[in-house]
Amino acid sequence: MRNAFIHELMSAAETKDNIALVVGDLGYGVVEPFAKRFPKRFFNAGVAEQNMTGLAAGLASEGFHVFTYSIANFPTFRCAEQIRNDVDYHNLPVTVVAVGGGLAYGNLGYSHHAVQDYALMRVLPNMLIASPGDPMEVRACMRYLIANPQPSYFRLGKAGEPCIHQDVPEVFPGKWLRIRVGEKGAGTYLTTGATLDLVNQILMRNLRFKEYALYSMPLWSMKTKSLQAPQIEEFAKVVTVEDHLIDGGFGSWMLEAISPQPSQLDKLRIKALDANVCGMVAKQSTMNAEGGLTEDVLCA
Amino acid sequence: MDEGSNWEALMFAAHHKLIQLTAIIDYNKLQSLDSVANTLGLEPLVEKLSAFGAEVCEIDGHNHEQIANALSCISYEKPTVIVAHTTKGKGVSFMENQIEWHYKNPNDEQLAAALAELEAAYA
Repeated sequence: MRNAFIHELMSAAETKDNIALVVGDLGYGVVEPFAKRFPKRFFNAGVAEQNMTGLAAGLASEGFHVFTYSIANFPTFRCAEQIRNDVDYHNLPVTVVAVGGGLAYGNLGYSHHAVQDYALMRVLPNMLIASPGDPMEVRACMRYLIANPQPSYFRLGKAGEPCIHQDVPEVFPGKWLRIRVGEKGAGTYLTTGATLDLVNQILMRNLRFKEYALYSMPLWSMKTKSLQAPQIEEFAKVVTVEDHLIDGGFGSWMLEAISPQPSQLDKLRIKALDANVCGMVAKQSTMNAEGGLTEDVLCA
Repeated sequence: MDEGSNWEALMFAAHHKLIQLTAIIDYNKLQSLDSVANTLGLEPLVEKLSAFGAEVCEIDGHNHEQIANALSCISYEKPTVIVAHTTKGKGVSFMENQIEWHYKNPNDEQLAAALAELEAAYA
């Protein structure tokens, strides 16, 4: 995902001279080509995320589309107030890029985990969340954001994620993206972020779930809640899956989105991480399993 | 020392005369992508720390005697900051001051070579 991200950013920066990248002393092995090719539009703000975000907002107010970049919690929680006051409330085109969403940096310790980031970002009224499920969705989300610069949060996995889509899909905020068709009137899984691969593999292994469809939603926000009820309409059941706590997460967002249509509430099942992963240190797959993202739980 | 919160803490400690507080800065002059000097220069670090109200001493961070001396000579009037000058990857020729070793794990061969260098130097 990281590589798809920097590739899209580089190719956009070739044609748009207002694209800038500000990193918080992170990005080894990823950001160097950008820094070399566009030295006047690259800044390493140092380990100082509040200033990184504030200066990004300043650049954005002068016409730049600025990407801030760091690991998981650092460009998000560390500088939450700058994101809210400087970026979101001023409706400025800053894209906060967090690499290692969820528990991707499990082994590096909980300082590097992001399992509450959706909760923070989705309460900001202008913020568009981009949480792609594979490198193709990364490219699609980047192309959308480059064409529609706005306050945004881009949640990346790490590197080496498999491609689920064969081509770069067309994405639109709040719209579900079909991965596989199910039987008419059956249920569907709906993922956001890197859980797409996990769910896709489980569905492929389990023949008893062959009637289920699979969708992902890489772009969503406070503004796109009203688009959800009509999409739920055609399914008997919708199972949301995310590598984030249920509190303030994607499934909870969906619950809020469909709460005006009580008849649809019964259809929703939310699969999210248990809070027991908070403070835990282990590799991603171990922690996702400890947090309840297992085949047994997802298929229950 | 890039994060402003460190300087906030130092201001508070000095203001409240927290003499029990001693901070050691492992000052290896490297950041995550480049040197400190090329990223967000901290110099003159000692003068800045002093101006923020700390008692500052500089030592060779690889010298145990100097570390022990510094810790036994802390101020009774101000919080103390020990600036310990260090070299990242000290003693292993192919690791010293190389950014990549912030990230890499040595393979078996590199581990053996590194241990051999360290054992030869400290035997």
